[in-house]
Amino acid sequence: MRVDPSGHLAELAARGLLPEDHLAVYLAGSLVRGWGNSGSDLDVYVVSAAPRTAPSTALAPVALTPDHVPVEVVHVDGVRWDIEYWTDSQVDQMFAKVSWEEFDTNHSVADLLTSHEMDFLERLGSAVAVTGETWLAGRRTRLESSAIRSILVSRALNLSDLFVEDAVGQLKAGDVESAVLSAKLAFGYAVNALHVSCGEFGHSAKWRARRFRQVEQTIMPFEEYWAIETMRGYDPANPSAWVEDVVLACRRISMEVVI
Amino acid sequence: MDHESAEAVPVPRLDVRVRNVGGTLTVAWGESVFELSETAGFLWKRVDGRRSLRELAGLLAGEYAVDPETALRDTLETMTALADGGLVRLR
Repeated sequence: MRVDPSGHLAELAARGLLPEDHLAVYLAGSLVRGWGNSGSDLDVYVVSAAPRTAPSTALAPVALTPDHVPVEVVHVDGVRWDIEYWTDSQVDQMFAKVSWEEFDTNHSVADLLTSHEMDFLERLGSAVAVTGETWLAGRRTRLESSAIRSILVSRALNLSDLFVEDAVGQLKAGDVESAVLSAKLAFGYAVNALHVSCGEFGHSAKWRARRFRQVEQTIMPFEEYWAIETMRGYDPANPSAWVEDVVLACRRISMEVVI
Repeated sequence: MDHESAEAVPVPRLDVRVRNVGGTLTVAWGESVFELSETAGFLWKRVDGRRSLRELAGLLAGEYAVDPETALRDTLETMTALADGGLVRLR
């Protein structure tokens, strides 16, 4: 199920949801990627020069100035639209956080980004412009030359390592059930790192198989990934063996994914 | 080098941290951190808990066209350093 971007601008304008100073309006998320279904939301991003001051349905917190993003929710022809209002300055501030200089000097650079900011940057690459194609293209180019890929790969591998350490410690302590869950989490983050390294951003676990199908890589075949994801090799009589296999798979990904 | 040590099998710790920064491997555990040379990285990628030092040396000799004795010495040096750092144990 794909979305057709024509008509969205008029819909926003008719509902009084289109700021006069908008620089770009674009669509993102699963519907735009062709991964959506009849229950999917449409993510609409509106970028303007000045902050939106009209009363909003919600305010999403961000670590930027202004420190929030107004969010409107409307339903159009049975589809829920989540509309976020960003300023151009907020976008600039996010790019400053993911510069190479920041990556080289700040080991916790990923922590500078809130989940909303992360979503914004992750979705930029696959967004479809309703208006402001030049703005969107310029920001995409800037994203490509930023350190975002290395930042997100490092973050995902660090998280994978933490859960590997947990899994190994839990195995040693005889807490096999916890070790199985930790290994599963470690694997998820390792696969996320693999995807990001191939330019496929996004960290939602529900789309991991979709992302895996999307990337071209030689580190791990889809079948092997899916066998681990679905715990096909898990033997209740010997769970430790599965944990060790998964940890080794995580290590292989860590070794091959280039930061 | 005695025959026995060449038959030892290096087994990496399960929780070794590995990073590939621009093609250079770094491996770490606890406070031990090793930035691996190209040949050490070649060996690390082939340490699977089954190959002996002699077998690893054979792969190294084949890849880099060095004589078997030099390859075995390099392999033993590398794995001993990693073992001293706690990253592998020699079985």
